[in-house]
Amino acid sequence: MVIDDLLKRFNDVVADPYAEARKRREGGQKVIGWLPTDVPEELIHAAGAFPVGILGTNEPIHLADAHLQSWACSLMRGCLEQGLKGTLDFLNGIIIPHTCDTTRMLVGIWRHALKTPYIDNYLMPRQVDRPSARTYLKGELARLKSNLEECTGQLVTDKALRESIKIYNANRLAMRRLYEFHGTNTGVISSRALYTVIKAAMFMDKAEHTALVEELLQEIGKVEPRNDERIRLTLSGGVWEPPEILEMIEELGGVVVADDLLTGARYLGPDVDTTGDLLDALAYRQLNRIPFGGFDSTIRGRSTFLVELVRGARAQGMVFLHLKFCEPENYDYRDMRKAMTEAGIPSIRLETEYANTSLGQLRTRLQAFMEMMGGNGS
Amino acid sequence: MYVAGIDIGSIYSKVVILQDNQLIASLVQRTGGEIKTASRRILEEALETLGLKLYDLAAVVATGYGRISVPFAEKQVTEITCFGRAMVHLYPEVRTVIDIGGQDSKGIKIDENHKVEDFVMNDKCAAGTGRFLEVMANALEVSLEDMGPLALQSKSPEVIGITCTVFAESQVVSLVAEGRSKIDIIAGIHQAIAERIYGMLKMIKIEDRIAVTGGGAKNIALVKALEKKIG
Repeated sequence: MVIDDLLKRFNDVVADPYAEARKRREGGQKVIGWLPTDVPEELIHAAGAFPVGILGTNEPIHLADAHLQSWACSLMRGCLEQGLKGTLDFLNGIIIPHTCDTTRMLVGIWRHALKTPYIDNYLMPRQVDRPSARTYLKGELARLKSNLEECTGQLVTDKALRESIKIYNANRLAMRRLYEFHGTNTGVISSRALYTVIKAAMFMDKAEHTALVEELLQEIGKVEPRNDERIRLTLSGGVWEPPEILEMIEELGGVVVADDLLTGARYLGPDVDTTGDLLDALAYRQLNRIPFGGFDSTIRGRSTFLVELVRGARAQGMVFLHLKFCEPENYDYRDMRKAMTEAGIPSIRLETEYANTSLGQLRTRLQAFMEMMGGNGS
Repeated sequence: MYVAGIDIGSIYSKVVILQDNQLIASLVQRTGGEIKTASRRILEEALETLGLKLYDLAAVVATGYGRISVPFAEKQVTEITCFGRAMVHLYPEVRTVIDIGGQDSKGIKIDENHKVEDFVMNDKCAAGTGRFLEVMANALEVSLEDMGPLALQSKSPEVIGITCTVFAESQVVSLVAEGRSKIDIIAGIHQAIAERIYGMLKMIKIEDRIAVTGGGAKNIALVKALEKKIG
């Protein structure tokens, strides 16, 4: 079946995420990695380098323990582990964004523990509503741009950046259409398949990814819509790890229809305007992304956003997927939970970890939640 | 009509057989390693006492941590929902269930319609579970059954910090080495578990009346310590 073949392509990419990056490096292109979340890949692309997401590992973590305390999140510990193990030796550079205390300190750790030639941080404004945020961010993007030029030896011209942004906008549009399709035709591809497609975009050539998604859209558009009685759920949090959670939700009679995950809808975010000042447009995109625990808006706050997300997606419940030791998420949780309760939306928090989450307990929690909502077993 | 419920817990498995909503047989056994065979064995043994066979049953529902490994169950329902359902039969006025199991502890809130309204469950850590009590009983060379009654004899319980079973165990071992009274240590252990569970229960609103279930309910000192904490 064509759809299965297409989905397999995305699956294969996620199973061996750095294959394309290694190929590029061997071909002589510079490769710049980025850690979650929000690093402006367009700048890396316009500087002639290949941007690749570094998204942790489900393999055991040992080496990172010598540098990063075990009560840092397993996402960042996993990224460092991959660096220390030599898995990321193909990198010419790495950009680590300051999203929380761990990522802030990780830049310094990376500098003393690893020999990646170019190591940079990306310092986003935390108070996104301040009038000065946009001007500040524009300056920060200019600094990043100039460092990237130095690393790759290629100037980021306006023309090149505009082209790169167009490629990324096209990619975001294709993924957005896939989301919309899945939200109204939930039976056609699985929740895990949807998120695998999004994640694959972080490792692949963008134009190639867009073409594949468009092909997938054409094929799934031919499928006769089916009536899907499953419980519609939304996800909120960092990453959909361990991936089995998505399958568990479906086995228990649910389906994911919307999210604010870093490896989900947040990766899409708004497009970048290509008509005016491009750095200003990149800054605007950043400040108008969907809210996130690391930097929340006080005007259009995350709790309101999440309630609207659930309602907009006609979802019946919210599953908070919180990485253990993720401080931004954990501190925010009280407010998010309160907003859900006040809006009459059933919700549950699942604390997850890369590598060693005990799936049995997760299943019990999820199943009890589904039973609470009148699904399987009640 | 005969129906059976089977609860495969991490340490013990339990079976009940009902005839027209009346309990007619029950059995508790250690789960052991092989859940698939254990679940069949225990159910068949319970049926034997009644002279019945598996095919005499109209339905079997499985719950507990091993519920998905019960091949002959019509339905797998979480223990959380089962507790809500059970209270309809046992104590309809109960609004909060505290379950102290071998692998985890849970707090379950039940609404007026006997539906689960909210629940909390401890993480994969063993602190605050029956397993914790087992480890401590072992370290102190006291049988699990004696732990509760011994704790009640204490006049000044030791203070045991309980963030982790392994750390708490080494603390207990050093207290023994210092020559502290075993009874006071045991009392301290019970208080520590009660505090841990109480902390978790604060995440849901505790409402009257409260039922304690699971192996932990059999421990008189633990129930008393919880009563004192909750007030």
